[in-house]
Amino acid sequence: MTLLEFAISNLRRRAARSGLTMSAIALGIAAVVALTSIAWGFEASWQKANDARGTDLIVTRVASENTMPTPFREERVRQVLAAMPHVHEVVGLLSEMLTVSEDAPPVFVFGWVYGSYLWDHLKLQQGHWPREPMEDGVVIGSIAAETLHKKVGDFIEIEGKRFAVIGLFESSAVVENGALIMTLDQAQLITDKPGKVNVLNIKLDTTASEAEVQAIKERVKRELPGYVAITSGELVRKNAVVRISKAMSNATILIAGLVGALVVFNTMLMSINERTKEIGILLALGWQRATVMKLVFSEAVVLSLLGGAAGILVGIGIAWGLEHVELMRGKIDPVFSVPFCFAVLGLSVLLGICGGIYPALKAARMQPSAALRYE
Amino acid sequence: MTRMLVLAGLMLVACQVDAAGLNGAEAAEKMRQARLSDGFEARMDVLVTLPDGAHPAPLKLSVIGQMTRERQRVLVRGIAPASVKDRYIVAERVTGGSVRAWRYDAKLKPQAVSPMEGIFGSSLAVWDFFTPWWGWHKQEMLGAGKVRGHDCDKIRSQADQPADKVQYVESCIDSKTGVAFETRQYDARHVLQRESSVVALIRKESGGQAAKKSRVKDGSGKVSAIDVYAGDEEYQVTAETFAVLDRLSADQ
Repeated sequence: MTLLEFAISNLRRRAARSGLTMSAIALGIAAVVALTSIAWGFEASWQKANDARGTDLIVTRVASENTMPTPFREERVRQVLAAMPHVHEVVGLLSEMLTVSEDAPPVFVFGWVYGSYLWDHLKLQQGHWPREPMEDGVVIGSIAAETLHKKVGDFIEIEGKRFAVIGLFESSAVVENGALIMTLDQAQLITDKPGKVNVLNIKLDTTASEAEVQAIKERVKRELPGYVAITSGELVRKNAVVRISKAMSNATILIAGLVGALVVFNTMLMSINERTKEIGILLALGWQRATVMKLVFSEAVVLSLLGGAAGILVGIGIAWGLEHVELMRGKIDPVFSVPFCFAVLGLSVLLGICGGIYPALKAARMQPSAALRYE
Repeated sequence: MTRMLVLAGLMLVACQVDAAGLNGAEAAEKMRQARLSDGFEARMDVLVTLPDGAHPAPLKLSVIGQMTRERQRVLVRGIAPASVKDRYIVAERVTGGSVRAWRYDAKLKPQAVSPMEGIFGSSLAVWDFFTPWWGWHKQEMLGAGKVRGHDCDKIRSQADQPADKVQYVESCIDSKTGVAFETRQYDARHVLQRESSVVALIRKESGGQAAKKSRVKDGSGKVSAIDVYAGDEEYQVTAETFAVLDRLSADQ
């Protein structure tokens, strides 16, 4: 019998306790997996939306940290930006989270400049795109259509104004699939923000180098005080919701780590105490102290490895379930990757090792004579 | 003895300050300053609960305001439901501090209404938007308070005009951020006319804080839960925005 088989057989001898310990580790790891994947997914989804549109730089107000940056009058800023080298197109975007149905949670309503490049990446499934800047129509993302139970030809009331659903689209970004899009002119009209946008999207020509992009950023800082030009990734990382969700995910990792290590510690310590005599016999039979330590560590690592694996599966299940809850549909897009799963499994094993250190040392330090007399 | 009384009196006055070391008048001035704006817009959901527990259809309102030292005016527009859609209440604060208000829509000519009247059947009144009590002369600090976990300073504002319906207002404020966590309006017989409290805050672009969610209860027991879901701190007030008010002022 190998040491690993011996360790597994020890765990199986106390099946109920081993099961409970693994469950506790699994729950902690599941919370880590679900929250981290959602936090990363939230960030990735917004970045994907910006990247898919083909935006190279985003100009916004310096202090903007909310989900959608504070609106500003775009005309002067747009003119300054349009005159900069390599700037191919500057288009405004206005967005708000609005309740458009009493039976459904609020959805993002975007206003995009009619005919601009922002529309190019969307795939029209049914209907048509707006045909003029002031058309009283919205195109609806596939998830929003399901959530709001709307199809092409239906009507939606947004901020007291009736809009026809003129098209249904699919995007590679889940935040856009959960949104309604109308022309910027209409969005400004219904939100009473004439001439205002949340952000200006800049599309550069293909010849712009990294250094030239950096030069544009510097020029915006100099020529447009109060505004900043950043990449979509920088904008998303500044976002308060992204920062809060990441902080929550980090806090969960910390708490789950502590709880997991304590659970393993407690289980292994109890197991060592109960098996004092057995360990004494092993030592008396000539087992090295290092072998006893390896045995205890093996048991702790097997426990945490199995708990971690189960936790990853449960975490993926929780995130998947949340993604399909009506309130969250179209707003979260959990991100899982093989390296992430291995990292979480590594964390789990680390918990096992941390929790097993003291019990392993205690077992290895036993005097066989004292252990054999232990009642 | 007289000297001791004067000293005791001075000590008492010294105690009548808020956490920032301000006396009543200074704290009230801070609150007034925090409300100054060349233009703002806030859109809000208002869920009304009647004294019998019934809920009328939720209101969706847009409030545009201009609060400068020279001019203070507010325009409320009904967005939903259909019964209030595109109905307006416009109000201004006139010299002397009183507030006057009118109601109108596309068909209805402006009709004078009480600024204390609930907006579209809610317990929210346009009078409250002007917070006129911060301009009253008598302001008295009452000590420290706590509302929903927020430390604040209690202040009593006494009306200048003895005939006014609201005779004094007790608030619990944070003069640094300009937030009144709780406000209670009383008449001359100490009967509570309306009380409001802040449930959740939002950080403004300017760095200050404002109420995101609040609750207003009137004397009849009607409660309005207000949720500001969108807004613009730098709303561009145009000649058109308060054109009706300008016409009414010119007529008078």
